[in-house]
Amino acid sequence: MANSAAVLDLALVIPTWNDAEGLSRLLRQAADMGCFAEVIVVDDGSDIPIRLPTDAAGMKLLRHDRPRGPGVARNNGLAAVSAPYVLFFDADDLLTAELPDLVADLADELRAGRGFDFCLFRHADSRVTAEERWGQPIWDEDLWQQAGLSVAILQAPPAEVWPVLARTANYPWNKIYRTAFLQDNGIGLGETLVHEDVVLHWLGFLAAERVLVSTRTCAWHRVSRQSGRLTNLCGPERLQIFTPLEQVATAMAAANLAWLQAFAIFALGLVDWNASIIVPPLRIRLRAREADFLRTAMADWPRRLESTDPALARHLTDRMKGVG
Amino acid sequence: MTQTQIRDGLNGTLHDLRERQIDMHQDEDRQVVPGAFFHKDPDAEMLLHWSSPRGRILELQSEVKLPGSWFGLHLGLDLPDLANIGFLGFAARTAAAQPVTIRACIRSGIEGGGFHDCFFDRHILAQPEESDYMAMIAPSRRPLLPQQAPWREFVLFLPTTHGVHLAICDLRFFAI
Repeated sequence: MANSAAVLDLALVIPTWNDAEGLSRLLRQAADMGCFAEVIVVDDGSDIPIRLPTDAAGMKLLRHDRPRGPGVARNNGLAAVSAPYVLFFDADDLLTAELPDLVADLADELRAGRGFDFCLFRHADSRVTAEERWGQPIWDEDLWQQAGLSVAILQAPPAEVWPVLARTANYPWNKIYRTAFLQDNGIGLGETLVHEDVVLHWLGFLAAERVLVSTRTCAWHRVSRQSGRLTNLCGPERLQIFTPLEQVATAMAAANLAWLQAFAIFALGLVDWNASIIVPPLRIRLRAREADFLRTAMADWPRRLESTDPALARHLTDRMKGVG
Repeated sequence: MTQTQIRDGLNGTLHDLRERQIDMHQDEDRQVVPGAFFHKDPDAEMLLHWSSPRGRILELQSEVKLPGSWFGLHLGLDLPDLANIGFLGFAARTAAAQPVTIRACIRSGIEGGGFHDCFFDRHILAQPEESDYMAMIAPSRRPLLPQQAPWREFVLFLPTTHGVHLAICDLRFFAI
């Protein structure tokens, strides 16, 4: 994890699909901020191919002939990154004014000889903005508070609290990653259409040696019920959820109980959320697949968790039986 | 004085804090920057760590070993004359590891010695989630607030009986 760089050369990777307007807005914003060494746009098979602005110095455009999903797009973008740090971002979200200060804070860390594998930062969410407030949804704020990370501008929390942080929303765009950390550990996005970010998020926490957390709010995430957005898909693609969950559960085999507890809570919650949005005829299949997944990938977890969290252990056992 | 002169006079120290980056300082450093300092009851025993992160005002952590009667952050205000000022106030963005209430006042020096404190009506509630707060006073409705004063300060009174971990993410004064 040696970092001798005095500045933080940061790449911005943006997958996009049929959102030229959002992309254009984000590219303008990124250019105005002046804190990106390179910008890589991955056009995931838009109906009308994306074109970069004519003054797109430092920008690179990759294109898929057909849509392959945001995970593949981000992975291909990552493969093209030459900067030592990378921020994944969605075309329909916005950067916020605090990002350049965070980049400067991180450059200070490097200058002081304190390298890091990734830095998690706060984000703002349009659902919170709609309530005339600013910030993350309360469920993420609660976890930040539980981890004791609500105040300090930048800190390296002890590894004991990482499992708590890992339970925050598994977004790819609220972290600045060290590019070589991802490449050396073979960490990327999943290739499913939905929840492709679960793998990056959890494996990142599991493999990291040093994680930084900043209370700077650096992204504004727009949640929209607009049709066509992947988040709003409610068909059979939702059954793909178990692919990334299996991948992480397998990687967790040797993890300590705090990690098992965190991931079990997360996985059950994620399946519940999918059950709430999937079309009703597929709900039974989702629950059957969940039971299969738990019995194969997390078979001995109830036994291991029994001493620390008996309620969770019982809950897992029930869900393995398809009840609860 | 013009509105711009008043605004700049009120916010000069805060502008300085926002623009500068000051790494963590220990207890003995009571002056933050010229015009901003911590002041505590001399009978109290407290440990204080503070910093001024880039783009923010202050982050501070206090530990109370022996409670005292007061502990405050003082910010100098270049506002000797309140004539023609209808409203004087401030907006703040704060966060705290544990919810904490903070009182704010305008302290006006009195010729010959002493001072007068004029408190804003509501407490600031700082909590883990960053939150914004705004308060103002109307000098004409505060007969005890001296219109002329040789010096003035804005004081944030912080807890004296227990420690606090507080971020003052932003703070700005206005006088209109």
